[in-house]
Amino acid sequence: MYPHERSLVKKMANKAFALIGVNSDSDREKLKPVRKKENITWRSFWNGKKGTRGPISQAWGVQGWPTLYVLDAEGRIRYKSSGAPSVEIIDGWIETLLKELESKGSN
Amino acid sequence: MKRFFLGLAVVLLVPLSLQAQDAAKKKKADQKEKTAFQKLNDEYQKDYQEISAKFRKAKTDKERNELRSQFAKMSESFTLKYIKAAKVDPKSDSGFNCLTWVLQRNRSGKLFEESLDLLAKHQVANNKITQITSGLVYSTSAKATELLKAVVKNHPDKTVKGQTSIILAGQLKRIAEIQGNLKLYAEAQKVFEEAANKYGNIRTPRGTVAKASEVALKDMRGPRALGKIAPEIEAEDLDSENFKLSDYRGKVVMIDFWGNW
Repeated sequence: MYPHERSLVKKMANKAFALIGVNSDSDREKLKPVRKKENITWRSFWNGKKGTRGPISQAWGVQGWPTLYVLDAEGRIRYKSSGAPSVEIIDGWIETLLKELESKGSN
Repeated sequence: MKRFFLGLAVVLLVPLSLQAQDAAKKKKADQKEKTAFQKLNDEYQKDYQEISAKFRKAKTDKERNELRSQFAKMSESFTLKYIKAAKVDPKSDSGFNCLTWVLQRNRSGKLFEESLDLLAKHQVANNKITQITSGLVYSTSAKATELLKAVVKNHPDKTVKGQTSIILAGQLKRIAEIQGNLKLYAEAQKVFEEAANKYGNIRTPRGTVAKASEVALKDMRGPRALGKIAPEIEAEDLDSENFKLSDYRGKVVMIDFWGNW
């Protein structure tokens, strides 16, 4: 996931798009070198010490990692996938919603 | 005395006649032609062993990569052979086994779709069909949906119908979520409901059909269902600073539940 996410964040830097993680590692300190090495610049909520059993993933009914939710600019849940879908599918989701937002803005 | 001899004769004769029957059976099995599937398996095993032996002897990465691509090509050409064999007699067990072989090695693509199509047309009532259908929940293929629907409709066994209807509902849910298709999402809910009504007490690998349906419907009607405004998340980030999901309102947001493992 990291390489695609890095390129996505770079490509969308000037667009109305944000990648937000919910990280389910139980130890935040151990993640620091990984974030640096993998250049993970996007922000993540931390799911807490319970790791995969933490409060955010429980509330969102997440049972497999990664799980993706995609929200439109109004905050509405528009797409979801448990398991990573293809790069084309992810890019398609975001493009569709950005276009939708642009066409609303111009009206 | 006469009765005793008769009894003895019976005791002696029975094992003899059983042996004779066994021998006859064995002879028959030897004479019987191997099925198309068995023949192809022999052929595949031979080629597979050959490449494996070469791979073990290979010394450089270049040689190994070459063998890997050879293996991929061989796999591909065998997929075509198995499909061709299945088409000759798609209703037979050999045909079923050939298509199973293809589906175990191909998770998408034209040949995957073709195999599903043949199964939907000729093998819907097969008692081993759940071996195939249980893996289809992750497929987004319309052909997979068709096969699942056909099994739910036409399989003679109620247990198979029940288990497959949960797989069908789950598959429709996944497709709807990936496509952002609310109409299909509603259809998936209907299939979950029907499954619970008709086959509620049938057991699946994860509890009863009723339970599986209840869990899915709770999610699909809950606050984090497709089409709902996402509930707030407010928590610390990885550097212990607080932030909120709603800080990003006005932007398209992808939430990635991730872990570094």
